[in-house]
Amino acid sequence: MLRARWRTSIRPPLIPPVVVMGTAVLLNLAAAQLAIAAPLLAAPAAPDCSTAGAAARAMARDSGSSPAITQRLDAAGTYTGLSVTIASRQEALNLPAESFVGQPAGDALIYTTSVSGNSEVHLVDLTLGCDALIARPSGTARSAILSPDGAAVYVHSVTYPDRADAGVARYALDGGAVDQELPPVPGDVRFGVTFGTQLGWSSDNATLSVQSCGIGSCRTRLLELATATVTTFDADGQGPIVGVTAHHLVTFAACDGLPCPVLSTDRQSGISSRISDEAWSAAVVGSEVRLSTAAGTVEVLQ
Amino acid sequence: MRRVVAALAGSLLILALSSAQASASAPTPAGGQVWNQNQRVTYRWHEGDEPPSWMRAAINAAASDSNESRSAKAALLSHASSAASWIGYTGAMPTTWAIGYTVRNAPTSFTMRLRPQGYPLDWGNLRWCQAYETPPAGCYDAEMIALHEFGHVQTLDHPNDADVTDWTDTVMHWAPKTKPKAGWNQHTFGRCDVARLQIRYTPLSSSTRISTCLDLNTDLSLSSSMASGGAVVLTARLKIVDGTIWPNLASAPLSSRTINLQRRAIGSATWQSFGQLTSLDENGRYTKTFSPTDSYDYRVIFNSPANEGLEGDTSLVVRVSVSNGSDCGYGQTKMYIC
Repeated sequence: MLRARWRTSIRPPLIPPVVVMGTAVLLNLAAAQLAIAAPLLAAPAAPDCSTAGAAARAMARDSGSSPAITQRLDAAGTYTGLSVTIASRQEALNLPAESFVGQPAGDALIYTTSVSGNSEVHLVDLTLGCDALIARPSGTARSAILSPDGAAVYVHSVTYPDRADAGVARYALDGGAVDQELPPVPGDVRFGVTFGTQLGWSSDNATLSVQSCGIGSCRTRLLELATATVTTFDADGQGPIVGVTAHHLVTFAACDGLPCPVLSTDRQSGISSRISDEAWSAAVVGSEVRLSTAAGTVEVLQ
Repeated sequence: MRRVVAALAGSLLILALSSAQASASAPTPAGGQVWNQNQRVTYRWHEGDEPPSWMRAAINAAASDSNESRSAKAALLSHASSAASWIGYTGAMPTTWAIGYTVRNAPTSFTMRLRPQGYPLDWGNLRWCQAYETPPAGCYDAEMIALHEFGHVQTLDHPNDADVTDWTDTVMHWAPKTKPKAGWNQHTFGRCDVARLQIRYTPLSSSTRISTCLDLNTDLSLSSSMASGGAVVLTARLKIVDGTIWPNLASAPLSSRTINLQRRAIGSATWQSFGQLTSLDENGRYTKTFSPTDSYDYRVIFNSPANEGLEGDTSLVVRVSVSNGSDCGYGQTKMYIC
């Protein structure tokens, strides 16, 4: 376990939030502005969700709507991207192969696209159906997540075209600063090249988790927003993250399937304990871990 | 007798044996509920996520690899359109990083996901060798990865690489290798995978070779009886010892092995080869019938085979006396041929 403080301001924001798929009137009015933030994807007209606080308002609302996501393959079976169908939109979003669609936070949905190193981060309001370009990260965006208050988006990227880890940057949605919140994950032969990186929030919304996984196992960095303290958990045998409480990091063991043991690591001491030998599912709810095992559902207070 | 010899060999020999065992690979870890012995488990292609033809062929080949190389009564896997279990070709996985993902719910069903060709990972795009006419370096062999996932279906886990002395001892490595690294296209379970499957499911039959990843003591016994016409029938029985640490393997009969017969003249210390016993049945019994013309002590020997994880054993001595009815005077068995 390693603790450090790390945060650096990169530059002013590249763009303010811009309507990408607004009404025809708005598109006409904003034509000049859009020239620098041209969307990579054509889309039908939809209401505006680019105004200040749009993300927070969408997050505060929960209509229960969720997008239907299907993958697209060519005739040879090669992956070509995702189609995202949203009930409030007439046409599906057809995203390129290098794209990411997050889990909805209330009615707010984040997706990223990247073509030839030109990356975009979009916000979709699942009720209004609008789609706004909210960040244009450098390199290739891999995933993104809204801050719990909806004021910023955190983006994980890799460099283009080398695809080296580029860390996690925070983009304020009010046009404020862009901060590099986490440096690139350092090389480590125990993990090899990174296959996937997952962003998430602790159950108390105070900590950003960034889990980087090689083909066999993972390491997790926890960023405490209040202090900018980064703690790294990289003991052997860590698998997919389950969640983070105020005091514990909960992960599966390094399995590529289920059932799988569940590990709980004390965030202060770094000491891990196995809280289930064989779980079919696990979730952090508040300060508890809910496990589904052969014996039924078990709740473990953390 | 072997045990006596071993005891006399002293602590140095025991230490040497312990050292040799510590450097060998261990049976691949496993856990959870097993399937029924030889349970037929079928899978279908997941609706909406059907693999392309080249991936289907690789998956079906992997199922055959599992069936043919399991050497144990593990589940038999095959495709069937109406199966309860399914396999999908999809990037929609519970993790951001795995290229294959299996959920096992033995003995009912399983699900398996394999990411599609070209799927973007942090380091680059996933490449399956079978998607190419000439597979490029750095591709993953879909048949091997599917066999790895079928290993999870059979309850195998990932080994600690520190416990593995030879990469090909298992296909369950945490980090499978890409072309052209050694083991990138292994299409059979490794010997330590087989060992665990034999521990959990028992060997396919008493004739099935025991994995060399195991090191099991055997018990060889010998008895005699008279047959018509003055013939003597020697019957040996070979099995894994009763007290082995793997309960499913304890006392398991061992058939179709080589059992050597030796004899010595009464009072002599020199044993001479007297042929072999013939495997009689699946209960680990071996037999030889012959008509003795003189009195001899007999014993049978099972030598530790190079291609199996079995220690050898030597039976106790059976005496066959050819006399006119007088007592043999030996504490084992007495035979009279008049």
